[in-house]
Amino acid sequence: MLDIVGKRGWYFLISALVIVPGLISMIAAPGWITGDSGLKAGIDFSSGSVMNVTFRQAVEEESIRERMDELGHSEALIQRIGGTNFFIRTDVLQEAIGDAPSEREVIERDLEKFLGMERDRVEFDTVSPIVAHETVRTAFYALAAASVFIMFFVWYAFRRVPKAHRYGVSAILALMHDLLIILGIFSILGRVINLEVNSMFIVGLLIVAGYSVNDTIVVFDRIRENVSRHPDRDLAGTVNLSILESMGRSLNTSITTLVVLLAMLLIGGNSIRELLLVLAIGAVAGTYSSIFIASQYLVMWDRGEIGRFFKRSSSAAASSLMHLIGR
Amino acid sequence: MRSRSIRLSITIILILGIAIAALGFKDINIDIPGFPQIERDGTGPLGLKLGLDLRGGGHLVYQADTGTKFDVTFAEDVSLIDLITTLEELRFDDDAELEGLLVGPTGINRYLIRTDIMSSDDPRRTGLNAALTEEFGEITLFQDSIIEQPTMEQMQGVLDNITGRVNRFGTEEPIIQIFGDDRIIVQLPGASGSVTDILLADPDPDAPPSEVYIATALPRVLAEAGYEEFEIETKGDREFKVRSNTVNAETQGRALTSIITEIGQVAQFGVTSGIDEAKALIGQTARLEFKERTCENAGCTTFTDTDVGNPPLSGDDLSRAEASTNQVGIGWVVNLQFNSRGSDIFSDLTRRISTTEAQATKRIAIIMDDRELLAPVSRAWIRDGRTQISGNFNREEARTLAIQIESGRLPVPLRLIQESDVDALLGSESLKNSLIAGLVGLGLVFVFMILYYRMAGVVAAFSLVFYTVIVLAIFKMIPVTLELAHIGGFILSIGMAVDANILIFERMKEEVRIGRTLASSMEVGFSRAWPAIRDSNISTMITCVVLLWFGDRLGGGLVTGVAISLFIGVAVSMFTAVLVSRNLLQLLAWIGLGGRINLFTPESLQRTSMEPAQTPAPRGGR
Repeated sequence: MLDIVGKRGWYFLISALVIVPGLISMIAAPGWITGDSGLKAGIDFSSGSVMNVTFRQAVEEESIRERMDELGHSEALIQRIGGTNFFIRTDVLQEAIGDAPSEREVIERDLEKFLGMERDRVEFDTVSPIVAHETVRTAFYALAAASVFIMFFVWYAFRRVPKAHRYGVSAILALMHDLLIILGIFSILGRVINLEVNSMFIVGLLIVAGYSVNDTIVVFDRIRENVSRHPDRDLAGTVNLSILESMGRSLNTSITTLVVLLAMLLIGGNSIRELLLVLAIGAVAGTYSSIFIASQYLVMWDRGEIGRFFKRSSSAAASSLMHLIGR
Repeated sequence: MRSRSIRLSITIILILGIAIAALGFKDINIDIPGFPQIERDGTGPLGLKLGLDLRGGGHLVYQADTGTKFDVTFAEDVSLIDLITTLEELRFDDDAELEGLLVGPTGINRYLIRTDIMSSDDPRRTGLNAALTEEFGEITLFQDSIIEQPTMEQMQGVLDNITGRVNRFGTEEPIIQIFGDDRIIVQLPGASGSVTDILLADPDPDAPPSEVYIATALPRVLAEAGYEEFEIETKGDREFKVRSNTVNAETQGRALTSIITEIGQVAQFGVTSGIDEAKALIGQTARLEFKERTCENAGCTTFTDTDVGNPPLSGDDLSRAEASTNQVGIGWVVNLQFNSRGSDIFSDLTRRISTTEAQATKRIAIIMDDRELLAPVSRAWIRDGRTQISGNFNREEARTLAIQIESGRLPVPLRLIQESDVDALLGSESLKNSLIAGLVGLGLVFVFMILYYRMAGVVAAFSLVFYTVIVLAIFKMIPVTLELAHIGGFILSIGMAVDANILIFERMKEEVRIGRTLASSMEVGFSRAWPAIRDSNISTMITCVVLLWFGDRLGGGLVTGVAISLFIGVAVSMFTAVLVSRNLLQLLAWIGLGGRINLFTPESLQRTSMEPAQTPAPRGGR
C-alpha cells in the first residue's frame, strides 16, 4: 500500500517552497516591513482611476503613453491586456466642473481622435482614498469569523470521533495554508508582472475559504468512517487508508472544477480574470491541502510532533523537518 | 421502494417543469388574490436580472461629507477655474494640503468651498483666508461652518432627493439605496455615454423624404432640440445612432417631437443616458424654495410662481420641520418653524394671501429641486414663523414630507467616492463570452464524467442540467441580480455539484468491487457518501452565511451576491445529489441495466473477476 502519511515532511516542504518565497515577497520592502500590504494594490485599495479600453486597430503602448503625457497624465500606468485591449491607470480623474468636461471625457475623446479608441467599449472605475482600506479589514474579520464557526461545526460533526476538536483546528490550518499560498503567489505576481489586486481578489479569497474546507471535510469524513470502523488501529494507518480511498474523488472533483474555471479564464471576459485566477489557485491548493496537509496535521498532532516542532529552536526545527523527510 | 421511486420521479419531473416554465416565460406576472403579487421581467436572457457589468451602466457611491464649508466672497473678479487651481496647489505649513475639495459658485464672486478640515484648531482653517487674500485680493465675506455626520433621517432625505432627481432624468430601473451610516449607492443601468437609437418608420409612399434631406435635417433638429456635442452614425437605411453628452429627458422628448414633425414617423426611439450628466444632477445640493403661487384657474392647473423676499425665502430661512399629530390628536400635520428673517418674510406673505379673496387664487408653493412638494393655501396670517401644514396626511406621508423639507433646510453635502462604469456593448460581450464559457465548461465536464464513469456519468450529466435549470430558476424568482462575480460563484458551485455525484459514484465503485450487485451498491454507496456530502456542504453554507452577515461592509452587493449565489448553488446541489442522481441510478438499475455492471464501471468489473480478494479493507456492517 502506498505510504502517503510516512512522507509527510515532504508535503510541508513542497508547501513551504511556495509559501516561503510568497511570504518573503509579502514582507520585503515594499511590504509588511515598510507597513504596506505586500500586494500590488489596485485602485480599490489605494484610490485612483482605471480605464479598460479597446482600440479599433493595433496600437503601441508608447503611443498611448505619448497621448497621456500630452494630457498631463504622466503618472499613467499603461498595460496591454491582450490584442488591442489596454489598461490605463491614473490618479483620481477630475469630475466635470461647470461647463468644463470631466477629465475622463477629455481622455476618451483624445484617444478616440488620435488612436481610434472605441468609445462604446470602455470600462471605467474610480475610487477615492476613503473607501480603500476598510474592505480589507472587514474581509479579514469575515474570514476570522467564518473560521471560528467552521471550526466549531467540524468539532460538532466529528463529535463521535476521539479528539474531535483536532479535526476542526486542522481544517482551519489547511484553510490558512491555502490562503497563504494565494496571497504569496499574488504578491510575487504583483512584483513580477505588476498584477494588481482589487475587490474581486477579496471575493475570490472568501469563496476559496468555502471551497477549501468543503474539500477537507470530504477527506476527514473518510477518516471518521474508518476510525469508527477500526477504533483500535493506529491513526497514521487509518489516515493513510482514508487518503488513498478518497484520492480518486479528490482528483476528479478538482479536475472538473478546474476545467470549468479554465474555460471561463480563456473565453470569458477580462473583468473577472483575477477572480478566476484566485479560484483556480484555490482549487489546486485546496485539493492539495486536504490530502497532504490537513490530514497530516492530525497524524502529527496525534504523535506529538507539532509540540516538538515548536519547542525546538529554529535550527532544530529545520533538522526535525529533515528528520521527517528522511523517514 | 419501487413505488416510492416512481413518486419521486414524478416530483422531480414536476419541479423541473416548474423551473423550466419559470425560465421559459420571459415575463412572469402572477397575481393570486391573497398572495403577494409575483412579477418578474428581467432584461437578460431567460428573463434573468443582469447586473451593471453585464448590461452596462454606472455604479456610483456617494458619501455624506463631513468637514468644513467656507462661504467666501471676493471683492474682485475671480473665476471658478482659477480658484480651483489655486486651492489645489495650496500648501500650508508641514506641506499639508486641502483634501476633499469641492467648489461651487453661489453668487457673483461668491463661492462655497468644502474641505476635509474637521477640528477648529486646524492651521489650514486660519491659513486659508490669508492664502486666498494673497492670491485674489480683498475678501469681503469669509464664513466657515462645520459639517457633521448626518443622522439617519437626514440620509433618508438625501435618498428622497436623489430618487427624485434620478427619476426625472429618465434612466430605466435605477437602484438607489442607503448603504452603511453615511453612504448612498446609485446604480444607473445603461447610463454610460448617451446613445440615442432612432429608427424611422417606413416613409410615406406619396412624398418620401429624400436621404439627403434626412442627412441635413436630422443634425439640425437635434441641435435645435438641445443635443450637445453629438455624432450621428448611419446604421442602415433609416436607422441612426446618435451619441451625445445630453441625457436630459426633456431634450430627448423635444427631439422626438421635432423629428416626427420635420422628418417623418418614428418607429423606434431609445435613449441610454450618460454618466457625467447623471453625476452633475445627483451631486447637486438640495434646494428648497418657498414661492408665492398665483393660480390662473379654479383647479390651479396653470399658475405662476414668484419669489418672496430678497434674497428669496428658501431652506436657509427655515429652522425646523417635523411631523406630529394635530391638536385633537387624530390627524397628522407637518410643523414648520422659520428663523427670524424667515418669520418676517413669511408673516408678510401670509398677511397678503390669507385674506378670504386671496385664498381663492393664492397658494404657497414649496418647491424642492424645481419639483413641487406641496402647495397649501394659507388660512391665517402667521406672525411668529410657526406654521402647521395639514392635508389629511397619514403618519407616513407627514413623516416623509417633513424629512424632505428638512433635507432642504439642512442639505447634506455629498461626495462621489467610488464610481464604476461599464459600457453597454462591453457588458453584452462579457455576458455572451461568459455564457459560451459556461457552456463549454459544462460540456467538458460532461465529457469527462461520461468517459470516466460511463452510464453513471450520463446520470451525472443529467443531474447537472437539472441543477443548472433549478439554480437559474431560483436566481430568477428571488430575484438575484447577476453580475460577473456571481457567475464565478455559480461556476464553483457547479464544481461542487459534480462533487456530490463523484462522491456517490466512487463509493458505488468500491461496493461493486467487493462484489455487490449494482442496485445494492448504489444504495450502500449513496448512504456512505451522504455524511461527506452533508457536512462538507454545510461548512460551505456556514461560510456563505458569515459573508452575508458581513456583506454590508464588504463592498455591499458584490460579496452579498456571491455569497447568495454560492449558498443557493450548494443547497441545490445537495438536493440534486440526494434526489435526482440517486433516483436516476435506481431507475437505470431497474430497467434492466442493473446486470451490466461494466456499463457503469468497466475497470472495476475486471478487478472483481480477477482479484476479488484485493479489497481495500474488510467491510463490516454499519
